[in-house]
Amino acid sequence: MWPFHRKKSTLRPDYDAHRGPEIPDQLGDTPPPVRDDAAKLMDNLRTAQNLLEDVSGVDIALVEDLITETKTFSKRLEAFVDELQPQANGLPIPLDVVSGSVEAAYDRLKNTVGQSPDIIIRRFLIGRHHPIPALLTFEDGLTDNQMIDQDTLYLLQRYQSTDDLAKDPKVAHQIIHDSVTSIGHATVEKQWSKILVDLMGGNTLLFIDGCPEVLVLDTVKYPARAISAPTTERAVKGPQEAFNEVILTQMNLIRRRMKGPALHFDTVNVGELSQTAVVIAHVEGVTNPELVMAVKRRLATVQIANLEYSHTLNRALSTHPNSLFPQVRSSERADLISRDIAQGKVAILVDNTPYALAVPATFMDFYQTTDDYTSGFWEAGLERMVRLIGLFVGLLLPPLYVAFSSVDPELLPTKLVITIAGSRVGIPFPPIFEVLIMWIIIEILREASIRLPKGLSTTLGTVGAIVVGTAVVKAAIVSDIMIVIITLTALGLFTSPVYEMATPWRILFWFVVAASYAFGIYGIILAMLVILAHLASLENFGVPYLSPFGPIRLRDLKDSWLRFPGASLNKRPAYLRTVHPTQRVPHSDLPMPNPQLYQTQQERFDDES
Amino acid sequence: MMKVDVVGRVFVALGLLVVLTGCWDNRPINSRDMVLAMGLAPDHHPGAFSTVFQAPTPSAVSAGSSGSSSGGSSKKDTFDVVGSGPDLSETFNEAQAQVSKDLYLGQMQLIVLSTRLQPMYFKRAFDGLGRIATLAKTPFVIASPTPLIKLLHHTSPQDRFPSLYFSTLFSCHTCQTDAFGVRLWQVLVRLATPGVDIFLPVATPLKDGYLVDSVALYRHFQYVTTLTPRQSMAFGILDAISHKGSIFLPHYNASLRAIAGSSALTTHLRHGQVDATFTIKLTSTLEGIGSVTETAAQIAGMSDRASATIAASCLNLLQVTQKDDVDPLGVGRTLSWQNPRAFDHFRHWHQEYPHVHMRVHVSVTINKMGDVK
Repeated sequence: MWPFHRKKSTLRPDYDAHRGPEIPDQLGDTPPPVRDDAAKLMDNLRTAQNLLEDVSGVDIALVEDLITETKTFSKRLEAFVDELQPQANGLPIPLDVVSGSVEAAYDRLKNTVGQSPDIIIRRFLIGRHHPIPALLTFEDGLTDNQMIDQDTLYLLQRYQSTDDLAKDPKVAHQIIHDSVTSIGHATVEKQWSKILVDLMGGNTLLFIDGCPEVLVLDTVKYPARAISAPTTERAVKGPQEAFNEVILTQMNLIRRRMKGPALHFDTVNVGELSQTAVVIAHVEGVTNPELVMAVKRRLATVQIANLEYSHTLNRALSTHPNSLFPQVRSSERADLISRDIAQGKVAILVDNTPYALAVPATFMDFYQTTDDYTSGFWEAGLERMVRLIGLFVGLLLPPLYVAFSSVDPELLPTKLVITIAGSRVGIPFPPIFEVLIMWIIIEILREASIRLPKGLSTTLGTVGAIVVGTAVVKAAIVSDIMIVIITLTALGLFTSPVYEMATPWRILFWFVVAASYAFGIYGIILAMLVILAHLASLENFGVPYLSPFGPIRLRDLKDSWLRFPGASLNKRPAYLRTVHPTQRVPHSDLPMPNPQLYQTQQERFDDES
Repeated sequence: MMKVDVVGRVFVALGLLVVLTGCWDNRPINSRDMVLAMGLAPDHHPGAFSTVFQAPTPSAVSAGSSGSSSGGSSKKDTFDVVGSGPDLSETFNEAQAQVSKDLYLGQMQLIVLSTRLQPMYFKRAFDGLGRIATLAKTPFVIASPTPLIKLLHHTSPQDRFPSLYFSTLFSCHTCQTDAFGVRLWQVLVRLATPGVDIFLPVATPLKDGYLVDSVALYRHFQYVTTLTPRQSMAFGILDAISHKGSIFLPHYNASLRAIAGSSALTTHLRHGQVDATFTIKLTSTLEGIGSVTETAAQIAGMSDRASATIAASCLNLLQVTQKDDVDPLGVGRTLSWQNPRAFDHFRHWHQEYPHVHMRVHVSVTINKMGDVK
């Protein structure tokens, strides 16, 4: 009977925690005969008990926890001690290296990760005639059971030539790899620190008795969301494939678009606990190697316990992480990320996150999307100009309203002033409060529509906007002109194809509004200059944020607010400093510009007749 | 520590900027009385003049916003406050004392001058107007022999406020027969420039609007005369502001309309005598001719006859201005540009102007034959 075993429910009602635990001495003076290591452990526990009797204010539950932890620790310690058997040369085996003993491996696994119910540890025998003990372990739910059962276990148990394995157990893994298992991807490891991570990632570990190396079989298969259409960056004519959470699928989607061998995926693991796979995608011979190196170095500096989202890396990948403006382009569109890679950028794929990152990103990147390249250059230019106008309308319309109606009404035509003044007759608040009230309403509606189910959010948004908009005007809280202005503002600020670009403008909007209220038009100009100066000061990975406008790069202006015809976009962006700047060879003479269709048709007619 | 200093300085600078901006007394536009028109007239008190400030009523403003018209109702669209005093600020203060809101001059569209206003008060009023910060120097200035209250209370079916009527009229140059519209800054410039006098369009209330077909001439601040409509048209041609002038040619039983063109003034000093030459090139449209077709000889004859008639009319007007010792066309100003030393030689240009030798060259080109063909 364990001396400290006591449940919380058995505590006496008169128990006083401040008085300390009353622990009866049930061990007696003469301990029962046990093994040496157990006797040592008992001695330690007796000492601990004596100490605890003198300690006051100790919760009994804490003591129970302490004992449980101590037991677990002692078991782990025993497993390590078992593995530390001296080798033939008399030197002990390092703790991180697999010893080759299946029993030792079993103990170690059982006492470390094996306590978790999702870890399956299976001992079995290879072959029938001269069976060799072996052990399989895998993560249930992340592995393909069929691959383990049929392609591994079944074949191993029915393996006939076990004599070969017995002759030289140290190469047993090689024989199994070459002749038995039918798993496509299998590697060999000998370090516990690596194989445990592989195990948690869905691989199956095969330990063979006497073999100091472990066969890591790629049996990864776990439930994944199907490839769906992009929801945050919709395109009218472009491909409708978005990344899902599985990094392998993400790589596949890019590889399908770039089958050339120059596309490289470099993997690093980020997160002490999560060990999240982060893939750096780039094109060898195009992307500047210095850029790839810089991305790797920055990622290496990320010291984080758990990497759950790709956006967590934004801070490490941004030169000015405290800036309002995003400096890393994130996208769920596979085609867009592929295009960025082909342009000479570096893409960062993060496991469990359907949003890939592309660096370096400029201001213009956040106003370009797939539709710009799937439509003609006239349409693309028009759409981009609409986005630019939307930005200015969204950012400047309420500040201009505040400035013109409060500070500088003399700058407006008289008829417009009369219209504004007439709409404001009876409104008790100054214009800036009108803006404040309406913007709060818009933000609430927006936030609610995002969080609610899709069907409900559409109804709520529509009804809310109409009801609230009508009600606030009828209640003479805001003017009817303000409804028009704030609606255009709310729409204008979201014309950016990238959602995160709307956030800085929504915040800076208030900066401009405050400036307009204090200084009128002059304040708006000052505020815009401050914003512009900040944008001009930003750079990421050595690329100015306002490229190609500041510094001016005429070549890149062809694909900025206006998009020139594809034939004129022969070069990759200059600011990326790619090692191979040409992306398209210009062709001046079209082969067969005007094929002789009529003549050929007539000739065929003549032949038939 | 250094970072704290920088942040502190930035905050102090921002604080000073906000505190010293002077914008804290800003009021929403609906909390102000927008003065759309202002009238300057002599006062019955000696040593003072009256200023009429006309602003729209709140109901009229509301109606203007909703697009409805309050014309049918008995409510007035505008209200007037009158202040009198020896200078503009006194009159303004007296007017401000009669209203509950801030009298806001930033949207003023019209300044009406009574032709009976004494030069001294005219000068004081315009000196004051030139220094009012909220007043953009863009309102139109007109003269009127009619009592100002009557003129400003006169309603037109075309616009609810007199100020908007005149700003609409004068803003479109080619809409008028002669673009007589003069803005405040132009008047101030002319008053400050030697060798040129001001002219103002004259408005007279009609049954359904206003008649604006003549100009009043001023010698500096002194009202001199009002030209007849025919003289005003000649004035428009000489000043190249005529757009829809017309002339009837009895000999051909034809009329020319849409007479418009350029006018170039050159001055020369010959033996102490100033010669001023107006070279006018006009185009026009033939209308009202009796024959279905016209020959080239007829066209040329009509052009010559029209040129001669217009030249005579212009010369006649120039002689009238010389007789009245008024230089509204800026002959002296042109002389000061083209021959500054000679202009400086004349101590008083108004003494010299009547002796200027005037020449007018007019050529009328008939480039449209009307709609007959």
